[in-house]
Amino acid sequence: MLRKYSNSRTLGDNIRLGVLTAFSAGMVNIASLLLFFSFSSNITGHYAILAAELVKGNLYQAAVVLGWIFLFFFGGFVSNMFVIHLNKKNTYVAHAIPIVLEIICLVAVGIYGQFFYNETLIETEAMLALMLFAMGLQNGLTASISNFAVKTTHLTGITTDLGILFSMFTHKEYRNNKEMKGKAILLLSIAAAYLAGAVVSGITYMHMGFRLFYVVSLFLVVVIFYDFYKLKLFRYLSNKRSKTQAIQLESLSNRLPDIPEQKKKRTQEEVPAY
Amino acid sequence: MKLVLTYSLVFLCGILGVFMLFNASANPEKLILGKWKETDWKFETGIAFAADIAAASKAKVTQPEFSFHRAEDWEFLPGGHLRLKIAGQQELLTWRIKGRGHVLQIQYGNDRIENYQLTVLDNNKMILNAESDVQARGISQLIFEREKSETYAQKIQ
Repeated sequence: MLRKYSNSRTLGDNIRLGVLTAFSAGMVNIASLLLFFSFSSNITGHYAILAAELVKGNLYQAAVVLGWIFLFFFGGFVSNMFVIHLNKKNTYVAHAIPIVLEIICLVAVGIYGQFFYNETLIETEAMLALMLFAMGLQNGLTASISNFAVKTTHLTGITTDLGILFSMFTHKEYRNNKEMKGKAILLLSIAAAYLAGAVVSGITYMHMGFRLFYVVSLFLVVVIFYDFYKLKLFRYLSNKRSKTQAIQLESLSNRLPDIPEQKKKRTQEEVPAY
Repeated sequence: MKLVLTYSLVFLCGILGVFMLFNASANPEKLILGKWKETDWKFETGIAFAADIAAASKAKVTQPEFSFHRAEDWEFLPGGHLRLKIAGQQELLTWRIKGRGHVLQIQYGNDRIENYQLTVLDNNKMILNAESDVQARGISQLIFEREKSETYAQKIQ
């Protein structure tokens, strides 16, 4: 999910990343709405609210909303900074850092909400700010590494794209286009996962309250460790294979005493080092 | 180096702008403190039969659920306490402001919660919008005026 970049990503990579992160975003958005009466993952509404508050002369509310919009923007900025500056050194680490930061933000909201929250306005605004920053990080990362194919914190663009795609499917040539079908599947999966996350959040919020954020973080941990596990597994399997090959070669050379010592040595050296 | 400076400057200007907006306005949590008198309430125009429902409710023909029908004097105290005066008796509830400062949440002792939209809140006037689907599907609007003797907000400012 996180190891590959841009065009080297497969549809499966994008679907896995999209589904897990959209599910998390759906959960966070509904949790913030139920707990704090404000959305945390879709920004379009905040722009409209900012305009409305400015028109009404409510400068305090306008400042709050402007701050939230800035933090969402800053989340995307930070995310892409890691991606473009660390990508060449270690792709996996470059892509995992924004998710780690997001987890830190969400766990902080969960812990603070569960143990310290006095329901004052400043606390509410600060926690929403953290959530918006976290969502900005997530959206920035998914969009950046998937070449803007995966955006998971809001569904405006996805719904528009789906509308366009389904209208194109009225033509037979587009219906048979593998790439377009794949895109439709990806977008539908993201929309369904976001909705599922929102529903699950709405149901479990009554029982879990702020502990919901730990569950969201768990989904993000899966995103990180899925690739980590695959990398480890790949290395383990590669090492195992090379060791087996080395043992086989050694036993083969032992069974052939006529091979001169020098040649035997060379055979062992030829075993690739993983 | 020049790039870092430019970016830092732009971000700093943005943050400074937000803080200036904060300073130029009053925090709703402080602005709401004090005594308020309910002067009027009405259903939003454009809703079918709104006038009839409002008239019926005012005449006590029907009994809506919201507390504003039981108390006309509200006193918002620091620490999140709300004192309602109902027929000469006092009831103590808790209040919180949520969202971006646009939702007033009132909690009763029995964990019943009422949410109101803070449509207008200034030194003299407060308008709350309460959505009620008990009596009618529509939005009722409560209009309050600050009692002149009250100086909580002024003291704090």
